Amino acid sequence: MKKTIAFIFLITLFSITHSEDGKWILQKIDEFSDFQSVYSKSKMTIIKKGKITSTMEFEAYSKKVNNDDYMLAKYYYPKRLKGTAILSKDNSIWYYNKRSNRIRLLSKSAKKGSMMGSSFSYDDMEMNYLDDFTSEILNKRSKNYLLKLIPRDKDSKYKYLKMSVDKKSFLVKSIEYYDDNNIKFKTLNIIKYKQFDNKWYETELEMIDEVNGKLTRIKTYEDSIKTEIDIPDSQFSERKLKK
Amino acid sequence: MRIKNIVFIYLIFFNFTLSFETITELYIKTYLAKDIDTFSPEARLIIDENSMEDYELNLELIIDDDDSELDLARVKFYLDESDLELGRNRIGWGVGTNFNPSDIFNDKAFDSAFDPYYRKEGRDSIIYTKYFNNSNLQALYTFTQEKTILNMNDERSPDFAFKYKKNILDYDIELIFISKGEHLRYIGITEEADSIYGFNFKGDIPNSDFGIWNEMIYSEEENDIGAAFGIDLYFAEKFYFNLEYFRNYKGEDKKSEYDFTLLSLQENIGQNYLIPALKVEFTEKLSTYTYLMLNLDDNSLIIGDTMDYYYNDIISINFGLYYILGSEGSEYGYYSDEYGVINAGGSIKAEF
Repeated sequence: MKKTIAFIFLITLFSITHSEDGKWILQKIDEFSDFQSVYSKSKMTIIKKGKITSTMEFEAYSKKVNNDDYMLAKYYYPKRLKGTAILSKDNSIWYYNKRSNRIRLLSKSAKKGSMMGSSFSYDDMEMNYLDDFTSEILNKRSKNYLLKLIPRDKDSKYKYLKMSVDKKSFLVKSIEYYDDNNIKFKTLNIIKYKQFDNKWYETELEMIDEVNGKLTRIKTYEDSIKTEIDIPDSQFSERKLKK
Repeated sequence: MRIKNIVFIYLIFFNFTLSFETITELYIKTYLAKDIDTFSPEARLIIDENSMEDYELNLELIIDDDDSELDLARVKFYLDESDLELGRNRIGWGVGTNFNPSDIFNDKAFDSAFDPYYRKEGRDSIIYTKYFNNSNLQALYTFTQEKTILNMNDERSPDFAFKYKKNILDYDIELIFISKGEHLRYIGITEEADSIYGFNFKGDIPNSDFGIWNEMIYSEEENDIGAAFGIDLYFAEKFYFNLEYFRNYKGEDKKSEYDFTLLSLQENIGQNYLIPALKVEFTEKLSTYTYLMLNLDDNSLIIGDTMDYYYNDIISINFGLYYILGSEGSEYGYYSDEYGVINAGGSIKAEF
């Protein structure tokens, strides 16, 4: 009897100290792939029915400031987008068009909208899984964890996400996005990672719109990536939008 | 050959030795209406030197079948916590979507109303902007502008203005003062000098997805208020809706008191307008913008539907269809009498 009680006690103690719950996995993901600051240049390609319909290139600065994600993206290709810039911080998006020389603060609903006609929304680019979602493990028997993430924001357009995470590396392999009707309407596949500063950066990813078949691929130029650099907060300002 | 053209050829030549970036835009614009059938080619040469940390240089030359014009020629210095812009510039004030009562510094071209690629004409100016932690203060001076339009003189006296902008609780808020100089219009009307005070804000309606904005000015000369007030919403990733109310303090609320000569200045002549609009992005290459411009004083209206199509990275196409309706003596009734109930316009742009 005593042995049984001791055994149960040890099992319980082990469970408490090494609990593989969803939150723990998200924390591990952060540990291995969440950077405080990044600069990079990327190419975004939109593909429909196997044909490239649009290509654009941009440089982006990102930084975590007080648990908020700041991002400044400046487009430089094609020429019709050159001089267009987007600043995202403190839940707001500012848009600048060089030819009209006007900065516009967009409404928050713009964040749910498509980024430059792609399958990504602005929200998608800034998701903080640990802070913005609750999570539970659906499956951990295979080589990947399968998590279900439910947004804390009741106004989110996603009812829940299914995330596949490699058990050894804690790198996200794919994410499926489900709407209010439990229909999977987008899938994100992370195709390639590269290691910087002992963490892993997504250098190639693609988002598939399951409704219309549109595929958006973002490929980051690896030699442009600079991580954990000192980016001043002033980089994320109206002044830098126009520069 | 005009001196401006020689300067530009010189600059293009030096583009190969200096780090100038050039963009050439070629347009073919056409407009079809009653007794109007225009076909206008236009070229814009844009030169940007922005490789330096401390300054940038921007030039824009427009060449059409009538004339060539240096529409933009400015140098911008990046100083410590401030910027200084000198030269011919487009000044973009205001938060309204369709109307900007506080954006008074640049003229609008005669045919701008239905031109999707229209840009305001540049104005010689000095602009100094001082940046603070979460705000900025801008001081602006525009020089005397003299030009000839349809063989008649148009002269603007200098303006000077201040704008203080700050983001508070996710709202962009602006306080404005403008000392507007006298403007002798080419049609023989004189706009008197004026002092204009403005208050603008843009943000979101709390606990909703709707954006909201207000652009409001008080004109001391007219002792009246101009405003643009609106809401907007992005939804379902493809749709953008906005609804804007515009109060034109220069207009009249009774059609019997309309001054129709102001229409040639691209000015509205009524006082109260409502503009609902919907943009649909069918694909990353194709979008449409449908709007209703309703004159609330005389119930005349324009319904417009424009389509933008990016054929490829170089070529884009725009086509617009306009339905113009109004009773006799109304603002858009005058348009439909002059130009027909249905108008159409199209443009092809090549950019490389």
